[in-house]
Amino acid sequence: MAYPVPGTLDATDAELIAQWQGGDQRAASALVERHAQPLARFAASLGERDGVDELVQDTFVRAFNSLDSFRADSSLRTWLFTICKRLVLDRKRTERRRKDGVELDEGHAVVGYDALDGLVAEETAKRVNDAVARLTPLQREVFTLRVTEGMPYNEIAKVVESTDGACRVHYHNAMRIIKEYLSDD
Amino acid sequence: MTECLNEEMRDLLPLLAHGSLAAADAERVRAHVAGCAECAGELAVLETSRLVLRAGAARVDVRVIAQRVNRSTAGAAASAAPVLRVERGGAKPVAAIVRRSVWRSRQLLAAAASLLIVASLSLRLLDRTPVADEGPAAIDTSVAIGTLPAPVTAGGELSVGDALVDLTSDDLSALLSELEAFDGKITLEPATMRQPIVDSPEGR
Repeated sequence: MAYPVPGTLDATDAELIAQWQGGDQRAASALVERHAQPLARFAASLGERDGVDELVQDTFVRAFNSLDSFRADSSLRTWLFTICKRLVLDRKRTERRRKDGVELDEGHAVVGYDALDGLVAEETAKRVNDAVARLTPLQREVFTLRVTEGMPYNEIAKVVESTDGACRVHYHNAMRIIKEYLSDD
Repeated sequence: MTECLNEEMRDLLPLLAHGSLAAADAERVRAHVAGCAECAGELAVLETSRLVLRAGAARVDVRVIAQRVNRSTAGAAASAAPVLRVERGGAKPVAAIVRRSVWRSRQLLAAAASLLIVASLSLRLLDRTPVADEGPAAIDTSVAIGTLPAPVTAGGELSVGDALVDLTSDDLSALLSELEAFDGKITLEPATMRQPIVDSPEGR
């Protein structure tokens, strides 16, 4: 749902950050509007299905409270993704401890089907999700960032803490696995 | 399953599906896809995957999140602001300049207030300086700083008095300006110049 903030639609992330630092809370709202849904998609690729709103909110709060550590050598979205990923890992560690050492089902990641809006048939969606579920967590992360967010490899590398070249290999391996799975059906 | 050997084109396919390629690059990739069955198949998989992954992701309530974030970070903006400082050419941070300017103004105001107090006390004392027959006991020593009982006027131009501590910074600034602009002459000749203040019986 669009949530337009007057005067902020055309501003760059850097301009909005400066406005927010100058006390304009509408700028924070504009940044949330711009990056919340991509963060939710990224969280889904990391296997987060519950409490995504809270996770996205925590990501922004942590980001705004530590903007002095933000280096402009990467995009704000990339930086938000790295924060989100750290929060997800923290959550998983906590959950793992709570479950007394029972490993999480990493392959159970990605998405549910109930939000599909009719653009894609349910059967096709299931097949694609099954194919994506066969990827390793790292392949899935790289694939999602590349395909759903259109991120360049150097930005993906910052999020997954790897190299551009390695991310490129992960992407192509993921693509091959998915194509093979879909062609086998 | 065969794959296209043009790695550059294959690398750009997800960006074409995402719509983030520049127009010229998008046109180039589309031209390649039009003649490459492998890339056309891969592009179809990518477009489908993108739709599925986007549709399946949780929808978040952006408005609620924005409100909560604003509540949680209220005040953080002010503390984050000094990060935006100018460091080139030895220029000083704006915040530091403002702080120093305010401090300097306060110092000046304090000095001005002290001067005014001393001046008003002096004028008052001069005005009440006893003549020889009144003796030193006539000097009102109860006058305390900041509690001057009545305005003191010198030369009909400068007027101070009442409780100086109750004056605001603006009032003190105005008084300072008045003091600087004051060019009146004190017409009172101090009594001390005319005659000694005290002629004590002990002959001090």
